[in-house]
Amino acid sequence: MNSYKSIWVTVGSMIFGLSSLVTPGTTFSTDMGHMTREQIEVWRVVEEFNEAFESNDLDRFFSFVGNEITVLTPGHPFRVEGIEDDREEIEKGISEGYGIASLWQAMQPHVRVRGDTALVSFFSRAYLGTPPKFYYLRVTNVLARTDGDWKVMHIHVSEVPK
Amino acid sequence: MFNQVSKLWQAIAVFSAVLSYSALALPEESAMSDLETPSHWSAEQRSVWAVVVEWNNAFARNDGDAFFAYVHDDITLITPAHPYRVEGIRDDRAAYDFELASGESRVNFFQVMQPLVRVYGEMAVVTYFSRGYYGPDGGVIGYFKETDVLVKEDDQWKVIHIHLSN
Repeated sequence: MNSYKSIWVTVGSMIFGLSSLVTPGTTFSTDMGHMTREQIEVWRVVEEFNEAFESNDLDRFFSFVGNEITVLTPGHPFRVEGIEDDREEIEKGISEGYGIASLWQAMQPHVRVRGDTALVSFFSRAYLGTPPKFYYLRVTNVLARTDGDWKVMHIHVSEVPK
Repeated sequence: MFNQVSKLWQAIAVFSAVLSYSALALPEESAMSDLETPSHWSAEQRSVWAVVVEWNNAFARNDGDAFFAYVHDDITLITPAHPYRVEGIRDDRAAYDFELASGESRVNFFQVMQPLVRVYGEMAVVTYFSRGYYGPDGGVIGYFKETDVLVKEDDQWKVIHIHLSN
């Protein structure tokens, strides 16, 4: 009887522990078993940021972006500097269809946390544009925590070499 | 008279341009200098950039020992030459030495343009554009966008991540 109790206590603790890590309505596709609590916290932010991108939800997407963001992507030869220019271009891409995301999967994340800064890299399989096309991408995100919130300060995306 | 004054101004303009250019030009074409550091940068930005300049100079000289002295043991690397992420200094150095010995990655010329340095506590993000000639027999030209992430440990900045793309 006692062993039954202890099993349910253990299972209950596991469920409680897991639920405390997961925001309601958010699903995570990546095995985070090897990550520390700090790394999981950062990766959750990046997963939510990625989900906002995949849903083409710009308000949510840019709620994770720092005002001074810098962006390097395969679509542009230059560096985008600042949230205003970044948002303007992404809005245009979605309104004209070429920037619509249908799928944005993140694989093999690598997360390093140093105090209030974090470095994240992962691979992405993406289905983008109208009509959509598959892209295989490598992504670097740098995040900084200010007033308790993690914000994405830098993005570098490149295509896998053919 | 007007033409003479105009010519004089043209001559001054050309002379100034030559002077400005010569102030930026360096004895070794592929080297960089702190002369390129924007005057509005903070002391922190300058200290990070000084490390990146020395590190890139080592790269331009094909000096593996000097280059890897600035590289963190836990470096991660994403480049156009490889589809995957390289993890750790051992694998990075092994490929660097192999490709340098084969001549494939020999640097013959290297220039950096429009650097931007952002420092967030103990982490710094440096982005810039580069052009270079890589490979044997003078090499072929390459244009790249680069992100370098550095971390400060024991008062020393080390490169912990590189993302290079076309």
